[in-house]
Amino acid sequence: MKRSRLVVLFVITVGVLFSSSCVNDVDFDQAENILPTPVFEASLIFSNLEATNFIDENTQQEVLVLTDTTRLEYINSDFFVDQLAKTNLTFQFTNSLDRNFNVDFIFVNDNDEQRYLAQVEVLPGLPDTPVFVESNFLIEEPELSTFEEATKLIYRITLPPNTNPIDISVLGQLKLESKATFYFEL
Amino acid sequence: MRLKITYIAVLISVFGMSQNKELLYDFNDLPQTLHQNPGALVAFDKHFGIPLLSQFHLNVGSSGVSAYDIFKDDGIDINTKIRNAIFSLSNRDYFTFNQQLEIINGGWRKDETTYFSYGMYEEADVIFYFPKELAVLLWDGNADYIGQSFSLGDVNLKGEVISVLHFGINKQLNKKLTIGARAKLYSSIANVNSRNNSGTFTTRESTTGDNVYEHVFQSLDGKVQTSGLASLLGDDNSDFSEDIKTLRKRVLFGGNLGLGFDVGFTYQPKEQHVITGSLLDVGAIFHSKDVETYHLNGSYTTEGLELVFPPLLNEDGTTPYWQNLEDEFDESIQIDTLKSNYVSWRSTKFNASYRYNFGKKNDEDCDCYAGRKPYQNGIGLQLFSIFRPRQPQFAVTAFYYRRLFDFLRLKFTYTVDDFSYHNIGLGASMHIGSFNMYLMGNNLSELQNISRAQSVSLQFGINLIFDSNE
Repeated sequence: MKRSRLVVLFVITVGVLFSSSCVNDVDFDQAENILPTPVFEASLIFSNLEATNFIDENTQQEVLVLTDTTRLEYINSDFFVDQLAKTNLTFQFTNSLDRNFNVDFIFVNDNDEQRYLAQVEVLPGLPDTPVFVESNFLIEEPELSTFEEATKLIYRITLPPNTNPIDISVLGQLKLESKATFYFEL
Repeated sequence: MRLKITYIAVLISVFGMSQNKELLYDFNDLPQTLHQNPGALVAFDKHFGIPLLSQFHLNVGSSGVSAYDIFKDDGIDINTKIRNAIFSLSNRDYFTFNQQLEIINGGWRKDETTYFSYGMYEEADVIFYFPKELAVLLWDGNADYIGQSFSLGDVNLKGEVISVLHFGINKQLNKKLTIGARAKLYSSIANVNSRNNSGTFTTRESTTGDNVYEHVFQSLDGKVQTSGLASLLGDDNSDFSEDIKTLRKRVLFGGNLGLGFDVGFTYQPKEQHVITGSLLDVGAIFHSKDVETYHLNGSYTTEGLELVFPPLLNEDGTTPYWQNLEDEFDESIQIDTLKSNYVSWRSTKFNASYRYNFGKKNDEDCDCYAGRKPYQNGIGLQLFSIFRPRQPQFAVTAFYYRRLFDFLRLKFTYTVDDFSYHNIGLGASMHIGSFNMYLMGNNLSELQNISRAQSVSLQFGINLIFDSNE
């Protein structure tokens, strides 16, 4: 009799002890707000052009426009489309050619339709005193969604009419360095 | 969203555990004590665990951070708290998870000095070291860390699900010394491990001056060994019941097999002084079926895409810069899938204890074995260690054991380990006739707010225990 009562008491005590455990002062709904925001920096394109690059082989005259294109597969990737919050493109020119240039960075989709355009004017420099030009392009919504449809980047250099065209013997370079800063929200 | 979950999983919520069963160790009233020390003193003649109910054990631990640290309702942005946690943890911090379920457990006395026990149990064990540098890279990105290297060497994890068939012999050599051993046959249901990884990822200012940055993957060498997973993940997953069938087969020793043993002793120089020790799970599993090892290795440096403006340019003749970059990368950094066999060692555990017994009961109502009246009290110290990939983990426990009203055996513990300095545990075992039920839990001081606890351990079970002297 006495024993059975003790058994009941024991079971209740242990039961209460282990079931009374609880979680106080915490708010697991905060999990909804978890938002990692890593910022990655990546090299983009670069080039180093000399006078010969701007001379037409056939005519030996200065070209009007110089173009090269590369695919950039990641811009249109699911990851970028879903997680990229904004991006900043940085283009740095070091020009030691005595010639001004209008540069277009044209982001296009597979049908070559323009999705984003970044324009930079590069002033003439000299071999001893190159001109440094840095341009930043911050791309946020609503532009960003259109930008993210791009799959290719066209780097186009236009040589505006000038009384002092490049000839093959001119020294100096037009150097491009670039990077992209990607702000993700995961 | 899926990505977010992966992120959180990597960063905080992969719990690990220690396998210390400080409450069960040297608790000689319970047959499960023989799993902690096959050389324990056996005070009964026969036992049989209620199938699937004789022992359930769960232990979850996190050495550096608790759920409370992250989810505290203090008005601070949770992302700030996660970031603080990432920076407060080191690559020696870990998350552990261990769970065991006895399927069968039984034993019988062969003669006065010999006791046999047998059984089968399932065990899941995971340890996941905090990959600090990768976590920082994933949480913050590389922008604030130009010139700084992130190491792959922090990646270290081990996870397994096994079933174990075992048979043990317990032999009392003389009044002072009892020894025991248990042979174990392991069947691996699934196994994954990754260690000895190396290599770094660095973004730094270009050394050639051609572009702003260069990205350097330096001597990457990472390996993840798996067994039992490829067939489950590789199929089209349309038929889940097929997967269950496969798993069931593996539980019943259709998986990768291994062998191991436990040994232990009890030494009683004087009746009141008890010294014990045991070494558990010395063994290995040999993985040859359904193995897949993923090996990442190589070095690669890139400054981005160099556009060279080739003189001959037409619509179709553009240079495939991107493709070339991808090809170069793939050639330089390779991920091979190998089918090579491998051996995984079990995490061996070491226990030792000293106990001082006192306070014999002087009434007639004695359920002791072989005419020995049991002491009502015991007090002592226990040491536990488990060998883990990076370093052994240790725990020290002080305990007080008490028999109460014959039917109740209690054990109080105070444990110091990687997880906390204030871990108080209580084990209670109820014996009514042959019926036995026990419940043990630690970190009781945190029970009022379990989210503060960095580890939680729980054992529960029901046995039938027979003693002819009763």
